[in-house]
Amino acid sequence: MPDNKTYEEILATATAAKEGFQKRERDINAEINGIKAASSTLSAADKTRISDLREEKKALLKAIGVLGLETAEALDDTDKARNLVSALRGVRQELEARREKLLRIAEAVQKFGNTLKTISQIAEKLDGIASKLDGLTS
Amino acid sequence: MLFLFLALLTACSTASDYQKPITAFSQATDGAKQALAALDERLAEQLQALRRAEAVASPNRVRFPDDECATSTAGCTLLLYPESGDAKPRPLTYTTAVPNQIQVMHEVSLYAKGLQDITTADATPGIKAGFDSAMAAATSLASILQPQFAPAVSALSVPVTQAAVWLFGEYQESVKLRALRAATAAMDPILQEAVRVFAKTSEFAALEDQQILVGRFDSRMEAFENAPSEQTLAQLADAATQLDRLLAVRPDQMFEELGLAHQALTEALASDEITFAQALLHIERLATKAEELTQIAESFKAAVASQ
Repeated sequence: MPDNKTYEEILATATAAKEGFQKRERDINAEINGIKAASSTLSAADKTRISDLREEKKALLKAIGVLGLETAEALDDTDKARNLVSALRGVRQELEARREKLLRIAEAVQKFGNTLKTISQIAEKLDGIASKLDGLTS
Repeated sequence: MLFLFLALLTACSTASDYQKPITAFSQATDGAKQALAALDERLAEQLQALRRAEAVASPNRVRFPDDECATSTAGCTLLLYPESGDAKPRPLTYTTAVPNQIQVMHEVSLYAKGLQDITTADATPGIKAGFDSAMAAATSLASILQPQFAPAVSALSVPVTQAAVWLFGEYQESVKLRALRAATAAMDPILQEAVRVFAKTSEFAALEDQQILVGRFDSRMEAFENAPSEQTLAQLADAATQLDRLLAVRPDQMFEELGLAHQALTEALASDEITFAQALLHIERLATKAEELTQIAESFKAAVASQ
């Protein structure tokens, strides 16, 4: 399968091939069943025909397997598969940013509380200094 | 105005409404990730066997890049070159067959975990600590600046902190729901696309195992026709059962369920009256199918190992 094909082209070609192979597989099954159903004992010609059909089916099954493996590999090695990774990553990172923002709000409130605490500590110290100054001047 | 704000907040859903389906979705997605990894492992084995058989049949196609495999080069990669045309050379050793899709599924799994992290994120302890500090500072300041108000400020500190934490809890729920709505809505079209890619890949990847079992069934049918007996009939029936089991497990259906589960989750979160029944149904099916698929892949692996 040439490598410069797009995901859609690979899929369309492989799907058409798969459907063709699978139709032939079902036709072979139906023909074998038809020969077996036609009489209780098979003639030499019937046996030869069934044998030929089974040989054809073996080759067909092998081709179906190879098509499956080649296609699975080829579909992954496309821009479409690669682009999905970056698209998914973008949404995931946005989600993570929202979660962090939520937690940052709590952090900001904590900082606000700590700032007030510092202010009150400074005020306490200033109050202490003011009391001492009052004592000196009185 | 404040009353309206509070009324709007309290009308929103709470984390307990969506935590269960989102946790279940995250767990089921992990199951799907494992199933894909098992499929990939099996596919890598099969591709490696295919490439090596091709290599043995056409030894001249086994080469290495001109700038490799020499004392002056940085590495050595053995490859199977195409017979003709512009196709890329293929590896002879596979650790993964679908690396991009493995990466896609990894991202899906991280995203599902991200949704779960949103539902469990709780900033209220931080808010409580912040308000505790703020109210203690306010009491202290009041005692310095306006000593007559200090007892009143002190008495108010506990209810004010409690009210703030409650208010923040309600706000947090609305933020979480908005985050979940935005993320699932943005992700859904991408995930549906990813699911279609996974489904098609797995549909083709399954063909090799299917053809192996169809081939085994055919050869046992032939053996029975040539020498009908209890034993050959039992062997034929056994091959039919194995093939039937394999054909019943369709890997593409697991990925379709992943898409349906996410779609139902997105729709449930977007609606004003959130109900997750449909989402839970698909999540349950997804989990079951992921397990079936992993078991099938594992049983093939065991069968290959025993041969």
